[in-house]
Amino acid sequence: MTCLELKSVSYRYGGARDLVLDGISASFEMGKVYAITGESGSGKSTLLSLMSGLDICGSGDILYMGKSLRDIDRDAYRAKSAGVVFQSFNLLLNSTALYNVTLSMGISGIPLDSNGKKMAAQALLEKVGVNSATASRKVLKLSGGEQQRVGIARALSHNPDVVIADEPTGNLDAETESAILKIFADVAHGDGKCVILVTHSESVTAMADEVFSLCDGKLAYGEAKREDEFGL
Amino acid sequence: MPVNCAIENALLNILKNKSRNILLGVITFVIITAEVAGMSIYNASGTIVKEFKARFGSEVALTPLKKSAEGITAEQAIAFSESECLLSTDINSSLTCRSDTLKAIGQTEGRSPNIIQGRENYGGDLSNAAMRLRGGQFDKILAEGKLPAILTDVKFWNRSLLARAARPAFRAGNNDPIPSFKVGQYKNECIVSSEFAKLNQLAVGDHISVQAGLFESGTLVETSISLTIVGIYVSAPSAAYPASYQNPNNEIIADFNTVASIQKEGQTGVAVNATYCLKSPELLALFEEEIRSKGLSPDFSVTTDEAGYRRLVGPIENLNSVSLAFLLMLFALGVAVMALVSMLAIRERKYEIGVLRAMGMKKGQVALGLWVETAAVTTVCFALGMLAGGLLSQPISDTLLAASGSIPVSVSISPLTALEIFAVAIVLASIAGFVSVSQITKYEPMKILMERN
Ligand SMILES: Nc1ncnc2c1ncn2[C@@H]1O[C@H](COP(=O)(O)OP(=O)(O)OP(=O)(O)O)[C@@H](O)[C@H]1O
Ligand SMILES: [Mg+2]
Repeated sequence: MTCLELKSVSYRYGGARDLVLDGISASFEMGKVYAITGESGSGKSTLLSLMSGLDICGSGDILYMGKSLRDIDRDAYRAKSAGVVFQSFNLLLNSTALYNVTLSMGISGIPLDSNGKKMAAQALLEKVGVNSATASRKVLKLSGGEQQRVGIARALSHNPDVVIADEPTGNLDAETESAILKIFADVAHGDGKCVILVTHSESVTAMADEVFSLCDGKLAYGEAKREDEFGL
Repeated sequence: MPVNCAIENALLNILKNKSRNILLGVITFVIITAEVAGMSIYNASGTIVKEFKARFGSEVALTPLKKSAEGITAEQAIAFSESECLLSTDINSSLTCRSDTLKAIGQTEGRSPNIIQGRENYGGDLSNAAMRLRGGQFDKILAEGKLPAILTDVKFWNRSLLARAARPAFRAGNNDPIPSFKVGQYKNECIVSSEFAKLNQLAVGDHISVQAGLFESGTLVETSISLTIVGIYVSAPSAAYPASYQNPNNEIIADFNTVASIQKEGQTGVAVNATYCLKSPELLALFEEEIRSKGLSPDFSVTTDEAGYRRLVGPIENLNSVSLAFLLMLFALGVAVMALVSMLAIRERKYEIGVLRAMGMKKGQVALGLWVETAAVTTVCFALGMLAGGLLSQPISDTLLAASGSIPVSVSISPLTALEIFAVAIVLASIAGFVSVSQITKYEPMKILMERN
């Protein structure tokens, strides 16, 4: 089943001359892991922000379960249907890791009481490698890698249909990375959700079911040639 | 539920944003404190202005312009008192007199041996009279059972005793109440001071007789008047007076008409004193027109002591308008500061708002959260401000009144005032909330987060 469908999506930042995204079409199925690669500044984060309903594309359309993101309640879409891991995490810095996760559950309207939410959030944080002592600290006082994992736990906390993650393993060591990738694979293959990952990491592209590359505002199927392959 | 979690988040935020909320709280506290103080002063002074106007009115002076001017007659005094312009009237008639059988207090044999002896001793010189017969509206005193404003020299009388004297049972000399009162019923009845009664061994029910000195074409005509004592009031001890008839304890108080009617056609000697109080000084012209048409001679000028009235009411009226201006200024300042604080707060918290919006919280909920946070802080500081303002308002008011040379006034916060101030606080909080909402609406979450990055 198609989860997200891009139809000639174009986007230009206000005031900018060039299109960042130039007529992109693609479709993302439930039950699969997708990887999107591309050079820095190629527009990967921009594409993800459109898919997560944070902004609306200039022309073209993005459909979620057949409905245009223009028409649906995008707040509810973000709260319930999409789980987003931001490149810069975007966590509440003054709150604990645990609260960031339980608040997300609260906003999504998950039917759990506050204790239930705490238990579930704690379990999820353990799963991504954040123990309860770390979880009870303010995000401000966590390392980059820890913050990244809190972001991942938050994105998964409300059991969304589509997980959209911007370089989710960028700050992690190889061992943790593979543990996280296993979780994403389980979400897609086990729970039948759609997982879209932006990445520079080969281990990510290696485990993905499909790989796209973004270049000059266009999305191409298959892995882009890597810069270092030209060098020698 | 999402709404609950927005509110819960807001309440948790109060502690997370300590310094910001303390700043907000202090501002609210200061504004509310000043607002309470100002509002209670405004209300108190407003009440006092109203009360003063009602209580004191503005006294009218009827001043003779010529020595030869004929006095105001009893009929005129009463007719004038019926004007709609008046707040109160104080009429009394008085007449100096002597008695062959009664002694006056302070009457020294050596100094004025002839005082109570013969008609020649009047000699046209009233200082030889021994006592004074004073006619107030005695029937009113008795009927109302209280001391009305119609009698002058009230400061010399023992008010509570006079009031007791006015009680029917007291008047009857036993506990049987007298069922009704009629005007003129008290003809030839009087009350005397306890000091005078003791000196002359008088009791309720006794009959006394005095001689009044009247003049008919320049000649003294003595008229004898018989009175029955219906009450004795306890008087303060007498001070020294140059003439015994000036001593208020020597006054025999009778009904106005009893005294006024002693004087027959063509006679003079009964002085009618009338003091009229206007409801407000502006009514003077109207009142003058009315009493002139009722026969006041052009030999009298009709004036008010407007300066005196202003002296009394003016400072409080000033305080009233100053405190209103202060309140309005404070309110404007409060609005401005609240708007500014919330604008800065929103800017400072743009990232947080962006994160919440990215997590799917709706604009309205984010705004509600911010409003709840502000309102909670405002409410706490409102309570503290009320307390501090309540404590401050009395000294502030005292200082202001002392500076304007007025009497001290008791200032307190009524429930209505508290409600008014609460309304002010809510308006301030809502303005803060409104600013928040309008600011949040300006930003899409993407933009908020992008700008920070
Ligand atoms: N708010 C903005 N206003 C204007 N231009 C922007 C804005 N944000 C990003 N851009 C530009 O849009 C292009 C795409 O940016 P984007 O962040 O999507 O790149 P990216 O592929 O995610 O890069 P990276 O791998 O470094 O994260 C860049 O050229 C960037 O400079
Ligand atoms: Mg990026």
